[in-house]
Order: sequence, then structure tokens, then C-alpha cells
Amino acid sequence: MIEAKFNVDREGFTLQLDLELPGTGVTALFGQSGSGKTTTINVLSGLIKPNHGLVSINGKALFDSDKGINVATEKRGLGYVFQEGRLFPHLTVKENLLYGLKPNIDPFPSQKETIELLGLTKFLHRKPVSLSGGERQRVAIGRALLCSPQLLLMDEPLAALDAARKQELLPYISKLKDILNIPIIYVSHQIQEIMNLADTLVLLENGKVLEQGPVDKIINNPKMTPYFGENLKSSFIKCIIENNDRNTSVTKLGFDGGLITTTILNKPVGSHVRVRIRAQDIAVSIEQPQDISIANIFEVKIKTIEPSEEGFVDLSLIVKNTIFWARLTKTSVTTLKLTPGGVVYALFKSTAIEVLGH
Amino acid sequence: MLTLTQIEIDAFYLTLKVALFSIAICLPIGVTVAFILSRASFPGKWLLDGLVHLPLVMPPVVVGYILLILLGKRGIIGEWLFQTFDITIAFSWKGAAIASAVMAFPLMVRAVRLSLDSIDKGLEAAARTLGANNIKVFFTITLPLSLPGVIAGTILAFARSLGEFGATITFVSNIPGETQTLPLALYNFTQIPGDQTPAIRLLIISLILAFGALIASDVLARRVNKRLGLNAGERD
Repeated sequence: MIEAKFNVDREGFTLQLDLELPGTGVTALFGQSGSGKTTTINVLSGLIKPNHGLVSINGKALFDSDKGINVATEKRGLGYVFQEGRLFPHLTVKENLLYGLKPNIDPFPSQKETIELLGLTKFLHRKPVSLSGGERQRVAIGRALLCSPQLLLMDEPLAALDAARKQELLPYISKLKDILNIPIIYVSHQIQEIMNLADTLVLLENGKVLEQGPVDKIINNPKMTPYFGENLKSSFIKCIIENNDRNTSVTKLGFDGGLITTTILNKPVGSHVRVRIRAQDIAVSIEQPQDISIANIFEVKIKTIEPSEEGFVDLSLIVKNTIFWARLTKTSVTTLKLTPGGVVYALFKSTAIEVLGH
Repeated sequence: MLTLTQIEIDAFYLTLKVALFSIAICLPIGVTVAFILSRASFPGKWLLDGLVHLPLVMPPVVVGYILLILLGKRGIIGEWLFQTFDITIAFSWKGAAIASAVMAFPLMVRAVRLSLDSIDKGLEAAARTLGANNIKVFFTITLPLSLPGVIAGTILAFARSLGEFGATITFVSNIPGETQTLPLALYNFTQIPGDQTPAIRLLIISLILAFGALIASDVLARRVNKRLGLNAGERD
């Protein structure tokens, strides 16, 4: 568990946190610029000294103003991936990677595995200046991992990259998430990245925590809509790849409640994935539709009907232990005489399915 | 023109020796002071800054005279040095090297400091997150990245030494074979009426030495820039 309970007072800016973050998985710090995201991880890493408070990892204090503890950055054992990479320009890729290697600790993953995982084999003897932005960030990630950190801090590692490079780097970060057994704190103001990678979300505004909890829950909280810039109300469903049919280009995803049909995925059978279906992409029918192109039709029970954006209502639909969210107009609800407890069919197209990291 | 006279040979080697020794004194102290001025903040920093720049703004003769008062055989430090270690600085080539070093010092410090100031502090922070302590950060990141400034400072200091006149002649006089560097020898010849050939010969020797230093610095700077990875597309 990571405890971050401190305040930083600067001219015109105050950061006041009282956070307990899980010791596993990816925690995203989300907020607009100036909300205190980067300051928070700089405090964790020891690059900024808070005015008052406590920072600890798994019960071990890194900073404690009451006891006068302030462990130096170089002794904290945290990996830090900076937004701009910050590779040492005078060293080769290999020298950069090995800079933080601890003499008596074998890094996990190992040196060789890290280099392979991040696809750095052919760059080892080059200088950072000759690498693309995405390649540089991969080196920066490798360098942070090889110093055997107990916590990995990532400060918007994709922010300085163009869209194509982002898409290139994102799978590497997802892979890391699967392999590493250390917690990751990921700073971002891109909700798309966060939905893809994070398990826990901390929403910061003006130096304060506004909301904290599992990503799926916070995204579905209507109060949060203004912070994400759009209503993201969605169903997040954990699935296992059951079957990849190359002939029809269709993948079947098993979930607690049935099989979802989607366009073929480039992942082996048995892989875990998370899919997201926006509430606005799910339709409801009273009778089981026949002769329809929509492949995903599930018999569900209406659990709740709650008002949503103007003129709309959100229905939570339950099948076994899975909840689908559907956004309908008020008129539809009245015309179809939908009430909680009623049994209906939920419909969505394969193209409405967004596959996220696991 | 092809064969050099003894005075010319002596002056040439002495000039080179004095310049090299003055750099040897300047370099370690200059880098240290530049680092302190660039990174540390402490009360009285302005005083150190001012002290460093003093030789740049004072007439060289004044600097030479101060050195004579401090380091002369009867000087405050000079007497102690003579009695304790039997070292005489005044009126020897060592004195000329010290005079050159003092005059070149501000140039060295300025160049190195400029280079240190321009280093991205984020790189040093990154090194610390990777477990490097202050000493490792300095020797593996700060110093290598400030090499262009260190080289520029060294060249400036070397050039300043080659041309040093006022402080040298005041502090260690103009003794052929001991303290008579090229500018001092040239000055001597210009004071003798009649044939200008010896003076012009020394002028040419000075030019060659200066050009040699410039070319050497250029080669060095290119190499360092390459090592630092400042040239795009470079692979090794």
C-alpha cells in the first residue's frame, strides 16, 4: 500500500493529498494541467519536498515531517519515466539502460528480457539523438525498470508523442502491466489511455482529490462527466477469448452471461481482455429480434432506470453477474413501457465494442 | 628564417610551458568554482562571484603588483612558502604561470559556468531517481555534458596565457630564459631602434602558436560534440 498524505505550499499553488493507493496494479492520476499530478509523483520520488506530511510504501516511510525522515531520491528505489524521456544524450542506449543497475540485485524482468520486451535489441549501440520519440520512451521505460524499483512512476509517457507513436508505445505499456509485480502510478490527462491501462483512478483538481476508486466505477459516475469532457457511461466487461475464427474474421469473447461476438482480435485464445461498450451504443427490444444484422443480443433484466443527460435515461441491465448500461430516450422508455424487473433484449453491434487491455 | 635563434626557442618553449601550467592550475579550481557558482546558493555568493571576476576588470599591472605583495619573497604568502618549503615564486617561470592563471581564471570560470547553467537539470534529477548520488551525478552526467564549456574555457585561458603581459612583467619581470615569454621578448625587440626583423620573426612565431591552438581546439570540440551525441544520425 502506498500512503501519500502531505501538503505542498507554493506561491499560488497548494497541493493537499490524503491518499491510500493500492500496492498492486496501475493507478492513474488524472486531472487538467495544474491540478497537481506531476507534483504528486515528484513528491513520491523525493524530487520535491512537501511542507508537511507522510509518504510511505508498504509501511516504510520515505518522508515523515513529524519524525524528520526524508529519504534521498537516489535511495528511494523508485523508477521514474519522465514525460520527455530524459535520456542521457552522451551515453548509448545500452549505457542508458544500465545506468541504474544495482550491483547486487538481479532486475526483474532481467536485462535481456527487458531489452527484448521493449524491442530495443537493434538500438543498443546508438545514441538517443538518433531514435524516434517512441523509441526513446521505450529506452526510458527500460532504464527505469532495470534499476529494480519497488514502484514505477510514469509521468504522461505518451504526451510528447504524435498519435501514431502513441499507438506504437501503448501495447508495450500494456504488456508491462501484465508482467510486472510492482505497482505503477500513471499520470495522464487522456481518459482513453487511462481506460486502457488503469485499474484505479484518482481525479485531481486544483491540488485536491476529487474522486478516487476503480476506473470502471468512476467513469460511470454521472457527476464525473464534466471532467472527462464527454459522457463516458459504459459497460466494462471482463472476457476471455474463446475462439478466433480466421475464415469469418470473428472472435468470440466469453463473459459471465454469454458470448460476445466481435471482429477478430490479434490475441491468442485464452487471453484475458476487457471490453467497453458505450451506453449510447446499446439498444433495447421487448421481443427477441429476428433477421437482424446485429450479432450481440442478450436476454437481460432491467435493474434500474435512472435519469441521465437531458431527455435521456440510463438503464442498467443485468445478465448473470454482468451489468450492461443502455442509454435511451425518455420517449422510448414510455412507449415500450419499460419498468425495473422487466425482461428485455439488449442489442449492440460488433463495431461498438472497444477492446481494452486486461 | 628557417633556423631559430636561442632567444626565440627559449621564448617559444617558455610561453608554451607557462600557458600549459597556468591551465593546469586554472582547470580544476575553475571547474570547482564554476560548479559552486552555478549550483550552490549561500550567503556571500556575490562576493565570490565578484572576486572571481576581479582580474577581468582590474588593470593587469595592478594584478601583478598584488601578486608581488602576496607571493614575493617578502610577501605575506611568499615568505612563508620560502621559509617552509624553500619555494621561490617571484621572478621565476612558476610566477609567470601563476600570473597567467590568475588573469585567465575569470575566463575559464565564465565559460564553464555558462555550460553548466545550460545543462538540463532534469537529466541530473533523472540520474538521481536511478540511484546515483551527488558524486556519481557530477562525474557521469554534469561533467561530461559540460565538456564543451570546459574546452572553450581552456582555450580561452590558454590564449589569455599566450598573450599575458602586464601582470607577468610586474610580478616576475622580463628575464630571458626564465620569465621572458613571447610577448615580453617581442616588447624587448620593439624597444631597440633599427632592424625590425627580430620583432617580426617573433610576431610570426606568435601567430603560428595561436593558430595551432585554435586548430587543436576545433578538432577537440568536434570530437567531444560527437561523443556527447549532439550530432544527429550518428552511430557507432
